[in-house]
Amino acid sequence: MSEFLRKHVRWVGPVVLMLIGLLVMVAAAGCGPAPTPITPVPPTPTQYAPPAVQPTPTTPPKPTPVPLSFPLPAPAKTGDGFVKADDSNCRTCHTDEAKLRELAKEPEKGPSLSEGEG
Amino acid sequence: MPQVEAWQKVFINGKQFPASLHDRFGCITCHGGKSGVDSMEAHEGVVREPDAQKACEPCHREIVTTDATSLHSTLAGYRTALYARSAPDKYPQIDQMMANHCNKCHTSCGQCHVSMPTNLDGGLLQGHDFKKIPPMNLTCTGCHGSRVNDEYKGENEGIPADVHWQKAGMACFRCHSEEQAHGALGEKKHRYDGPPTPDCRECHTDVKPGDGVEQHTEKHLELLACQVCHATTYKNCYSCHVAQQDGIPYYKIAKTVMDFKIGLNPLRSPERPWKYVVVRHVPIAPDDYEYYGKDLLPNYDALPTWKYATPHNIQRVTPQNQSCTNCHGNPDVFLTEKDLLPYEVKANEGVVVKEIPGF
Repeated sequence: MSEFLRKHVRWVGPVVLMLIGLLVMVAAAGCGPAPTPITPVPPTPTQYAPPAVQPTPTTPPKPTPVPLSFPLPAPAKTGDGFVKADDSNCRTCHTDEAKLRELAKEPEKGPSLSEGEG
Repeated sequence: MPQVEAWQKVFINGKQFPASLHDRFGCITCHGGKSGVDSMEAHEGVVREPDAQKACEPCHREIVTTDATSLHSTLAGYRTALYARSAPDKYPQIDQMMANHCNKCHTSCGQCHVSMPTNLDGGLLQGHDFKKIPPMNLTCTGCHGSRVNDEYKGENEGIPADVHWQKAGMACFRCHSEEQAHGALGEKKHRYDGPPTPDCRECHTDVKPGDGVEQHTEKHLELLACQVCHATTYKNCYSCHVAQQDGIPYYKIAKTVMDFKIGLNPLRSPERPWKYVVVRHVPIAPDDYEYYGKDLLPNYDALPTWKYATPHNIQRVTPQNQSCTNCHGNPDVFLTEKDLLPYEVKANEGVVVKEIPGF
């Protein structure tokens, strides 16, 4: 027996025993009951994804009717861009009392056939 | 009605109107016509009454929107009553009759706020000024004349004016709100559709049992509309025969009768809960519209001819509220079968008082 063996032989026995014990444990574990089956989690539903390209509408969408809720906002029309027609001749006549007295006549009415209080 | 001369109907106040807001649009924008030509040509295409949707709506949108469905605008009250007495296959003739004889009473923005109604042949109110509150005498009572005006102002012989006029001088708008006139209280099928507007109790909040008025008992206030005790004799019409001659419509209205009748409430509801109300005979006879076709009112009996009424001649003291026996046990103040014409008995079954209240 060499000097080396003689020096370390006392460690070989326990190491061999530990290896054998380890193999026995591994073998025993492999023969145990079957593992509990894992139920897979159903996938989270995802919203319908629209097609990437939508067809271009041919007519503009109708405005959604909005119920009137008073008071309404002030009118937007302010007269900007409004062109006032020349009405000087209207005014000349219709503000002239003397002329209107002369010209304005009630349209003639025929005799009324109506009777009684209305 | 005060007489308005022809020139006044078209006269524009040259000092006042140009200073007003409405003048900024100019004459032609609203009325059309031409400028820079002779007077005949200038009036070509002139619109006497501008379209409210075009002329008024841009600024007065709220009012124009609701007014389109107001009774003043639609005259739905007439149509509701006439259609009820008629039948769908007769509606075209009824519509034709209404177009010729009734639609003139339709009013519009301008016909109250700028001019007199077309029913009165129009004419500017006051130099084309725009009146926020229309002058009562030239507009409201111009149309609501023979009944409302005459009752309210005491123009029926021997009948005093309404206390609201006589003592307080209240104009129409004091009770009849802008909202009511402009249809802002919702679409109505007739004048008495929905809650009372106005409601006496809105002002007379102190009226209740124990208020010191002997007749204001719990039972009276529950069973009687205010007018039963506080209105007095009013006008009743019986027929309005219509026809045309040479395309001109005319009316023959039977003689009116001054009377006062208490009937059963034909519109009894939680909003008008009274058992007894004042009833007025309306101008409707079965053959009123025969000019437009035979038997145009086949369901004549569908509505009473003595109808729910609110006479405008309110008094604190009236003949009927002077003593208990003026009503209790007195058939003369109640509508009974003897008050009915032979052809209207069935129509009024729901309003005649069969058992005169005793004590």
